[in-house]
Amino acid sequence: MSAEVLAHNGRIQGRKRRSLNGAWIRANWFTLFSGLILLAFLIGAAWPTSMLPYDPLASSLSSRFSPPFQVDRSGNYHILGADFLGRDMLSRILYSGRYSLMTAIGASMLVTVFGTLIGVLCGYVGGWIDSLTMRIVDALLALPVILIAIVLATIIGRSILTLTIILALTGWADFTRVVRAETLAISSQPYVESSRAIGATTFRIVLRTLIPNAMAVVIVMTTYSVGRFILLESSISYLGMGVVPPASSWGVMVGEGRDYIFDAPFISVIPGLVITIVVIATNFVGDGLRDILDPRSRAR
Amino acid sequence: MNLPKYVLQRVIQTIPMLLFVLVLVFSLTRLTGDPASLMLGDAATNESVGALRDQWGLNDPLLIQFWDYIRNLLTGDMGASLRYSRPVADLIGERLMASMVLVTASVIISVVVSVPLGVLAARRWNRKEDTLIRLFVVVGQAVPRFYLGILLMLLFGLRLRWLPTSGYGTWKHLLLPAFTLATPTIALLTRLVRSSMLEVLSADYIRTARAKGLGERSVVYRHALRNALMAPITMLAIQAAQLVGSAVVVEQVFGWPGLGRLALDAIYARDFPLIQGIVLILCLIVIVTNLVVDVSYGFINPQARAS
Repeated sequence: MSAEVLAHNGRIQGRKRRSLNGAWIRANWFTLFSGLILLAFLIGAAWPTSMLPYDPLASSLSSRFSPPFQVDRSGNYHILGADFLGRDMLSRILYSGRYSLMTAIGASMLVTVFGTLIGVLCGYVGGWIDSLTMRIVDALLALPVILIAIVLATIIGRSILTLTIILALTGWADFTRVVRAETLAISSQPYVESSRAIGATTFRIVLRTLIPNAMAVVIVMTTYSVGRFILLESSISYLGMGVVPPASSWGVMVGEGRDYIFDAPFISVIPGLVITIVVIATNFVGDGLRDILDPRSRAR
Repeated sequence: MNLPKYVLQRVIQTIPMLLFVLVLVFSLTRLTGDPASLMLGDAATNESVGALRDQWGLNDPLLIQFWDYIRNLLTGDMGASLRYSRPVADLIGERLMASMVLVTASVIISVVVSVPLGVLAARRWNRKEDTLIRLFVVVGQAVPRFYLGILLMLLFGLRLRWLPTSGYGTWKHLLLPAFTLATPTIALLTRLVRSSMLEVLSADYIRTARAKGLGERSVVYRHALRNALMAPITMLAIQAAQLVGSAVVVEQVFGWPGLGRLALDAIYARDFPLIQGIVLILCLIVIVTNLVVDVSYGFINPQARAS
């Protein structure tokens, strides 16, 4: 995800004939650094199970509750400790990252595709489609999302696919609203009027003019939504309504450690820290991309 | 537009929203096609499923079922809980107070903390205070509430032993859950107050106020802040929904005996009449909160009434 965004970012820079030179890197080092953190977690998540330090699913009596940076009773070293079943924390964090990142990125992709299409259509075509969609968007934004997501998970199932769809279903509203607002702004530009004047069909205008011009906003919103979905998924998982074992996620790990919070707090604290760092990194990449792609919106 | 007319208009505008929620809650359990077998689980025999279908009128057309559902709601009948064998309305009534206390406290904390923080950050723009507050905003918006709750519990409950880690009753029990629930909202509101204060402070009328020799306090609090608060107030209305939803998580972390905990217990037990009732009540709370914010918004800002 971040790799794609960064690559895209590079392309846009290239188009403006500004290459990735030293000055550009110095000006955007923070965004790049956040992107690298995300990349590291993505690589960790994609790392083959057989090449992890330990089997993330193998429990071991002698390693139970082994604290971070210590050799346990059987002589194994666990850099981030071992949990209540003696499973290696580092391996589990990398393994759980698969499910956390997969659902969040998957949901972001769904929301990007459908949110962009619906948002552009509503903004450009208007009329009753627009009013109806915007009423639904308003209503969705005014509902307790987490609760509805958990209830949906109970009813339609807790596989990775259904969870991804549930995240997307509960999270498309504000994406669509932002894209619609952007489309409204673009539609009033002279170049849209000119393409209509030379006889371009609505389909062509949407595809060749509106969507490419809204792309900057879409990319930034997609990045933010990855962070939002990681948070939402972790809450659902923490409550025990997320992916089913043997699958795991960072939220699941925090939830599992809750029973041992006073004796072995690291079991919950470490995966929670991972969630926080990854979400901060996505937000920074989003901020950075917004500043790079749309200099007018540079935050003070 | 005069005030009563504005209020009336706002009330009428919530009706479609109300309908949407009712349809949503009604269809939640019918998503899979057969609520009876959903509720009885896999072990149920065909006869018992059939009996339940008859008892609940599930063989009637959907529209009739929906009509019956609404009619029952209007008489205060939300069905009976499968797990507790008691009316859903009674169960909700017992827990409603705790939830309201938690959410209200969080809303108050959010406003009381974020406004001074945002103003301070804007006035000390790009200085040490501003940097610190921005750091808080970044972390506050990224930390999951359940995780923050655990951290606060470990720090203030276990290490410092200042506050109880769970339970319900005194204001001491309320502090940790309320702050946990409020923190992401504080972060968001602080950011909004800061940026809109920055915008307003550079406006012409602020320069005029300064030029005519008004004191700094008067300029910042009477002239700038009032105008800068509009965007944050709108956001607070949207946040109310998030607070009500996230209370489910926070109540679980701190063992707070509110509707969220009841909802989770109901979800674990697949007690669908109870789930439906709680979702409906929580949505209603959000709708009413939004209405109150909207109306008070129109009260503060006459321009909002005009549009």
